[in-house]
Amino acid sequence: MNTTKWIDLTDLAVWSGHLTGIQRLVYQITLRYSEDENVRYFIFDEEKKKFFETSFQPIREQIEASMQNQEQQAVSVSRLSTAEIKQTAIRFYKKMPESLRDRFTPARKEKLKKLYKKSRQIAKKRPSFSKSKPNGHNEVIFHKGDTVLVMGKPWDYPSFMECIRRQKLVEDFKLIQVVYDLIPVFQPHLHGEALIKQYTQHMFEVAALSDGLLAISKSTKKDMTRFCKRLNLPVPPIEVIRLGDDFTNVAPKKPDYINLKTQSYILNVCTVEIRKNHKLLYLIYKQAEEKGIELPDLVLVGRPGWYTHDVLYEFTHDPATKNKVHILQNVDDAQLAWLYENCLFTVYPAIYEGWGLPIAESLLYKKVCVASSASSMTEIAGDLLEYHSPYDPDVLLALVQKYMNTSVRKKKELEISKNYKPTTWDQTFAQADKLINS
Amino acid sequence: MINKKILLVSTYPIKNPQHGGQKRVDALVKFYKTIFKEVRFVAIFHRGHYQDYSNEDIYLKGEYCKKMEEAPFTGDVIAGEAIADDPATKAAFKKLLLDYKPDIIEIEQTFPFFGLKTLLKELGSNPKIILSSHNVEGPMKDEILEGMNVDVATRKSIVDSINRVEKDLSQISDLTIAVTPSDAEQHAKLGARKVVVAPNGIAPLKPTEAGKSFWEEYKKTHGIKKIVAFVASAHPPNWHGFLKMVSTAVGFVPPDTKILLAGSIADYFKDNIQGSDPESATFWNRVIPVGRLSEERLVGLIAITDVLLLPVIEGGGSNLKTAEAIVSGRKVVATSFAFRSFEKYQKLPNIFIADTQKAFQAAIADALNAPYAKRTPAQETLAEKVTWKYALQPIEEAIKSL
Repeated sequence: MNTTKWIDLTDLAVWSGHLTGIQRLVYQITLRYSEDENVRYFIFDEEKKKFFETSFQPIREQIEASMQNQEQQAVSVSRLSTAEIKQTAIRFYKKMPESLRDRFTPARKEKLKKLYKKSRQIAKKRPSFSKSKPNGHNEVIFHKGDTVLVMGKPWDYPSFMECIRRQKLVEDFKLIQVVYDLIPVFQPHLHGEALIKQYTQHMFEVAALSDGLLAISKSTKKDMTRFCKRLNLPVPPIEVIRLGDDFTNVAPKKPDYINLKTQSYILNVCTVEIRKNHKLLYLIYKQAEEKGIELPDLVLVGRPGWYTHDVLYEFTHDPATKNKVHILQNVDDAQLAWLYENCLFTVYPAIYEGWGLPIAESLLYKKVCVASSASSMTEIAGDLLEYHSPYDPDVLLALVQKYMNTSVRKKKELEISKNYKPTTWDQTFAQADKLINS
Repeated sequence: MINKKILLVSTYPIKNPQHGGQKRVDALVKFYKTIFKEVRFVAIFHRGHYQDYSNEDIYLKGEYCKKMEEAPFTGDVIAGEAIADDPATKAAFKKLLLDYKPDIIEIEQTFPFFGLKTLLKELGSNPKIILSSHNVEGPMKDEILEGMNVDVATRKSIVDSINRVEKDLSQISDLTIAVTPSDAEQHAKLGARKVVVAPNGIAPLKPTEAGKSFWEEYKKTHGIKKIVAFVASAHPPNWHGFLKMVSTAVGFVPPDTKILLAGSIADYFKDNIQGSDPESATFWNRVIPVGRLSEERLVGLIAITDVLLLPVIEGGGSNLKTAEAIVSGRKVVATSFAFRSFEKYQKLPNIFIADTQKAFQAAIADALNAPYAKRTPAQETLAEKVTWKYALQPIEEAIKSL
């Protein structure tokens, strides 16, 4: 019997530049399967509603080159099909905060349309990635005995799960998928509105069709189980895997555009979106001002995301914060390493997470992280850290004051240094492989 | 052959009958044509609600149409009142009575009597009256209005007026035809003098090859292996029953199966299940609204469906859909309430009875997995008893004695 393992590389195939959490997981697990001769790879073509075989090697080479260069690379237009360009543009527009969307005047929209037409012309002249037929580019039909591993973001492709469903009707292959979170389902107010329904419908089929799920935290497993029970879905076997956090070491480099008054600053690394709860950080700075407490500067590293127009306005216009809070975007890995190494400690007050990688990242730099107690965030370091409710500025302010004390902070850093054991990607792979082969 | 002229009156036409009421009246008209010298039928109705009607039917105009649109769940009362209160309707009806001079007038579902009583009095006309009950209408309307969250005072006022007219009609009728023994008992309590029970029936289903192959092709194009069908109108008890017994959390439906909503019930769900909460967002992952169907396609759907649903939890009368399901021989998942007055058919093979939501959902899964059990000849004969031919038989003797 054929026992091929098929790995979905749809996201990775169109991704370039810095790997985010999801792409990193796909890459690291695939890398460890790549020597296995029974492993093959596929991508999904939304336009044709079919799966096609691809190969991992060119993707791997590109990612490795990208990692070496440590450069952010924009997605190459020439590698995208016209449909992918259009889809990406629509997705980008839908995910924009309302405040930004409003700025798309008819004249600007017209300019964008012209740009889109021009990019189509370029794309037509050059073969797109999905049409380049790597490895023969045969259509993939999964068979009984096959294992199909989906670790990326198939919810971006509305027909992906329907095509899986239809293939499963013909031959019941084994389907394993990674579940990151159910935030759009259970915390819709913290997510861009456009994707909520699509994501919920996608997760419904994930639960209904999968033979096993890999949840990235106990909290996500709990949410997935709750989701299944609420919708009367049978709960598939769910194993928790812990994401690797043995990041690449890069030489730290001070960002030359940062103008900190002192070297004493608190660091927060994440997209500036409503779910990350920057409002709570603003509140503690206001509370400190009211109580006459002098807090260190705050460095926020992250691009602006959903529904934070107001808090960004407050941070940048309030006399109490405008010279104290520094908002940095497009920080590369070397600059980020410098920011971690030189900060007093980090804060991570997120309202909800699937995992909470910046907490682990902080610990890797042996820095204290004052983190939210919600969802998965206490799973990363357990008792090693102290937590606060994401709705409680009093506790957060008290913890910030506590770790401003050098001896308290140094003692905790020593504790972290002794006790925090990063998870290797080999360990993550072993956990995943156990379910995949069971 | 009864040497008399009978006129049947209802608040909906029966050309191309779709809902249960239309089907019952259509069957009565056809049945009477086999036993009466002359039979005529007239409907007082809103053309916006029924596109198919005959030349003899009287459609409402102007103010009365507006009234019905403003109060969709009391449209039947408004149509009945129009017989006496709307000059155009009254004139048309008067002409009909004077030209035709019926010996017997059969009033379908009480409502035409709201105006007909006054008109008959004005004309000094005294035909024999038959109340053809489909439900006990007062309590039924109360349930519907409650479900629509109509305020208590308005509800009470509407229900009181229906109760009053229904009681009056029961008492003056020379014959009351009830659908179930329980309805018969209710009418007797209201003062009905002579009551006969004639349950709902069904015309034998005659699926065509084209009707069936349409759905076989449909299954292929939609990637469906099995179909669960819910055939119903948008009548509130139908969607109440679906929501209570099936629910909008449809994860229990296997990925190879879809629930098809046939009839105007589909419109209700399309209009109301649109949210982004988990249940609404995923409802359509397993449910397809196929909407109103031609008779050929509907019969074809019933013939190829794997499971028919009868999630009936309220209402009087007996459900025509139950009879349809019995005749079809398909696997059926139903509440025991759906089988009231069809109790003896519950023992037929392929019938799954469940009375709680959990049990109903589990029964759908069980029915989908269960092998199809063929009926014995005796069971086939029993099933045929639900056709109109047998169901309306008791009326003949009762009418002869009028």
